[in-house]
Amino acid sequence: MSLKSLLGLIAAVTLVAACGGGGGSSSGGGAPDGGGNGGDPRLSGGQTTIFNATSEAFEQPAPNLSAAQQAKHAAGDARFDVQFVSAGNDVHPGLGPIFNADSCGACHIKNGRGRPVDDSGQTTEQIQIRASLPTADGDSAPYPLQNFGLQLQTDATFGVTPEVKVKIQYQSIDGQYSDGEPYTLVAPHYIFEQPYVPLPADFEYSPRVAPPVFGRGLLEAIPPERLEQLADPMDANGDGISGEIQRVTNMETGATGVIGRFGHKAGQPTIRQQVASAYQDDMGVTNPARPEESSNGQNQDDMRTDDPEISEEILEQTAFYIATLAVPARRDVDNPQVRRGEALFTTSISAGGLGCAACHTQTLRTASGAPLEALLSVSFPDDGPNPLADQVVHPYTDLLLHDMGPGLADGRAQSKANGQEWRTPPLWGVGLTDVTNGHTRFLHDGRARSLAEAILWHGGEAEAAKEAFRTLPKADREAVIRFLQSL
Amino acid sequence: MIPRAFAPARTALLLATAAIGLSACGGGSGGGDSSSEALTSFDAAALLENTADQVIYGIYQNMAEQANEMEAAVQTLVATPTAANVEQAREQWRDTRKFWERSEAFLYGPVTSNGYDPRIDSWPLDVSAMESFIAQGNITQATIDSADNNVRGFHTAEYLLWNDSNDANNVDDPQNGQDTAANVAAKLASSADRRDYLLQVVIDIRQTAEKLADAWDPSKDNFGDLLKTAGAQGNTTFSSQSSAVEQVIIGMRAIANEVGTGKIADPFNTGDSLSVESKHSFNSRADFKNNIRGIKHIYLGDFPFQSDGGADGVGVTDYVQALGATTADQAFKTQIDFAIDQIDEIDQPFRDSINGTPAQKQEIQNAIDAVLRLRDMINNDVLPLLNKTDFAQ
Repeated sequence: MSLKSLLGLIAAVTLVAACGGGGGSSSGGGAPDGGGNGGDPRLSGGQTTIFNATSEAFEQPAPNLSAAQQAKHAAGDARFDVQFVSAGNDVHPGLGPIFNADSCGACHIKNGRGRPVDDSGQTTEQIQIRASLPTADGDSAPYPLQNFGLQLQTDATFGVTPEVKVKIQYQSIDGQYSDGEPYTLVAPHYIFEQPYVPLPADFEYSPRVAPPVFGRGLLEAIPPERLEQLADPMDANGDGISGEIQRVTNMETGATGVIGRFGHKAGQPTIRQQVASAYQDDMGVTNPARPEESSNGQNQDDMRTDDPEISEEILEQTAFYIATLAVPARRDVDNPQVRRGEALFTTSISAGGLGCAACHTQTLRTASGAPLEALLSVSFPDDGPNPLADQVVHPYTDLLLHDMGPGLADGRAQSKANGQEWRTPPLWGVGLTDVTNGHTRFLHDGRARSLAEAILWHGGEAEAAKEAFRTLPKADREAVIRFLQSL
Repeated sequence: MIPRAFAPARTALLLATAAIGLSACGGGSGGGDSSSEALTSFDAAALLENTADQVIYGIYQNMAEQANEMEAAVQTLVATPTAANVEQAREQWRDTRKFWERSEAFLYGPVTSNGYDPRIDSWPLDVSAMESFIAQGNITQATIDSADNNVRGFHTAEYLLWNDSNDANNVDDPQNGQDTAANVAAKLASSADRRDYLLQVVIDIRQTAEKLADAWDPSKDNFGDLLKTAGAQGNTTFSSQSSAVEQVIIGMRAIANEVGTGKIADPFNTGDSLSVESKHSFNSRADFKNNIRGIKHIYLGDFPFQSDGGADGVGVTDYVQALGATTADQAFKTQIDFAIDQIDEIDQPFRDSINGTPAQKQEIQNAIDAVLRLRDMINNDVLPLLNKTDFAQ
C-alpha cells in the first residue's frame, strides 16, 4: 500500500468519526445503549455506516476497516461470489450433489433480500424450505426427515435428482382500514411436487427467504447482558410483549444453550456457523465446520472422499466478509413526514403510537475489548482497532423471539422458538429493498408485497400494534411507511 | 456478469473508502448536512433520460439484434457444419458479447433483479455436466430453460464454438494453442446432440437479450422510467435525482473496480490460467476493453459514440462540467482512452500472458494500474460532486 493510500484511509476514518456518529462518544439518557438515537440518526451502523443509496448499498466494506481488514474483506467478497460447479471440474468444484443455489450471491442477490417465487409460481433459489418431523415445543432441535434432512434441496448436479420441487399459490385475504380503505393480503400455500422419494405425511416445514446479510458483525457483537436485559419471557412488565432469547447448540464446540442470533428463528449462534451451514445445506459445499455433505446418509450421498471441499481460509474469509459489510445510512431523517412516522413507530400504544419499538429496538451498543473478542466468530487483523467495537447502532431489532400469531405461524418448532415465534428482523436498510433487489417482498417467507402488508400480517404480541396501524388516519399510515422507507 | 471465478471484489479499495468517508459528512445518498460551501443547481432530467433511453436501452437493443444474428449464424452452422460457418458463428458470438460487456457498466435493475446476468454469463462452467448433457441427448428449449446457469449462456456457446482450449487433445494449432474451426466443425458434424445443444443455448441467449431490451424499452417495461422520474412522488427506487445520478456513477465505478481488481488482477496474481474468463475464444482482452468502453458510453452519454456517427448525448461529462470540474472532466476522458490503450497492449492470449515474460507481465500491470486510476478518479473527482449539487428533484 502506498503512503498516499494510507493517508486516504486515515482521512476517511477521521472524517466519519468527525461526523459524530457511533463510537464511544454518544451518551446520555442513562440507557445502556447511550440513550435514544444517540449521535447522528443517519449512522445506522455507527462508524460502519456507508452513504450509498444505490443498488450497491449493501455491498460496501465498512469504512472504518484497517488496510489488512480491508484486504481480508475483499478476499471474502470474492469468495462470496464464487459460483461452484460439480465435483470433478477444474474451477471451483464442490457443488452438490443436492443444493439450492450455486453461490452465496445467488440467494443473497446484491447482498439483499430474496423474492420467493418466479413468474410461474415456482420457488426461486432465494427461498429455502426447512423441514423436520414433529417435535414437542421446547428445547429440542428439529428432528430431520429421513432421506431429506433438515432442508429440502430443490436442485441437483447432473445425474442426481432434486429432492423436491416447490410451488407457491397465494390466496387473497381482503381487509379494510378503519377509514374504509380496502386492502388485500395474500397467504402462501406450498405445493410439493416430484419428491425423489415420498415425503412423510406429517412433516413440518418452514419457508425462509434469504435476508440481507450486512450488519451481521454488529449484531454478533451485542453483549448477551443487553439481550438478557431486553428479554421478558414471562411478560413481567405486563406490556403484552414477551421477548425470549433463543438458545441453540454451537455445532463446532458442542456447547449448548448458546444465544441464537441469526436466521428467522435465530437458529444460528454465530456468523461462522451460519456461513458454514449455508455452504453445506444451501450449496452442498462441505467445509471444516460442516464437513459432511447434506446428503450424507441419504439415498443420494455422493460417496466421495473429497471433503471438506473448501478450506478453513475460505470459510473464514467469507464469514469475515459478512461481518464487516457496511450498514447503509438512513435518508431523509429531517423530513417532517418521516419524523411523524418515526414518532408513531417509537411511541407506545398507550401514548398514542404503534409501539413498534417494543420489539424493533432502535439502538444497541456493541461490546468492546475482551468481551467483544469473546463474542466474535471471525478473527480481525490487528493493524487497526476492531471496527465493530463500541458502536452505537440502529438495527431496529432486539434479536429476541416473539409470538407473531397464527397468521404468520409455520407450526414448526426450532429449539426455544415454537411454531408461532420468530426473531425480530432488523429493519435497517429495509427502505432500499426496491433499489437493491427490484422488489418489495417482506417477512420470513416474502408473502408481504409491501411494507404496509408486512405490518398488517403482524399478530400475536404485535396484534395491538397492527391494529393501531390499521386504525390510523391515512396520512399517519403513510408517514409510518415513509419512515420505514428512510431506514 | 461479474465473473465468479475471479475475485470480483465489488469492494472498493482504499481510495474508494476515502471518498465514501467524505460523503459520510453530507450529500451523496441522502446526506443532509448543510455545508458552508455553496451548492450548484443542476437538473439531471436530460442526463437521466439520455442515459436510460439512448445509452442503456441502445446497448441492450444492439445486443438483442446481434444475438438474433448469432442465432441465424448458428442455424446455418448446425445445418451445415463447416469451418467457414464456425468462423461466422464465432464472429457473431464476439459481436453479441461486445454489447454485453459494455452493458456491465450498468449492472443494475432487471439484469440483476430478474437473474438475467447469471443466466447469460455464468462462469465457470460445469464442463462435466455439459458433456453429460450432450451424451444424454434430446436437448430442447425446455431442457435449457430448466438447466442450471453453469451449463448455458455465453460461455457454454463459447465452449461449443471453440472447444476446450486447455485440452491438449483438442488443440490442433500449436501457433496459438487454440483449436481450429475445422476441428470444431468436425466435432459438431459428428454429433447431432452437440449441434442441438449449441443451437438451444444460443436461442436462450437471444431470448434473454430480448428480455433485457424489453425491460428498458420506453414503450414496453420501461425500467428507465424510474431513473427518469427520480425524485417524483411515489418513486421509492430513486427518491431523488441525486440517488439516480449516484446510481449511474456507481455503475461505472463497479465495473472499473471489477476489471482492475478481479477480471485482470485475479488470474494475473494467481497465475491460474484455468480460471480466465473467455479463455477458449481468447476474447478476454476484448471483454476488458468493452467493459471500459461501456464506461465511456455512460460518461459521454453517447451511443453510438459521437466519433462513430452517433449524436452528442447528455452524459455524466455534462454534469461534471456543469459543476465546474472541467479539468477533472478532461482528465477522466483522457484516462478512459488511456486505459483502453493499455489493455490493448496486453499480449494475446491473456490466458498465457499472465504467466508470460516479465515484459508481458508488465503490460498487464500497466493495464491494471490504468483501470484502477480510472476507478479512483470516479471516487475522488466525480462522486464528491454529488455533495456540491442542488438537484432539481
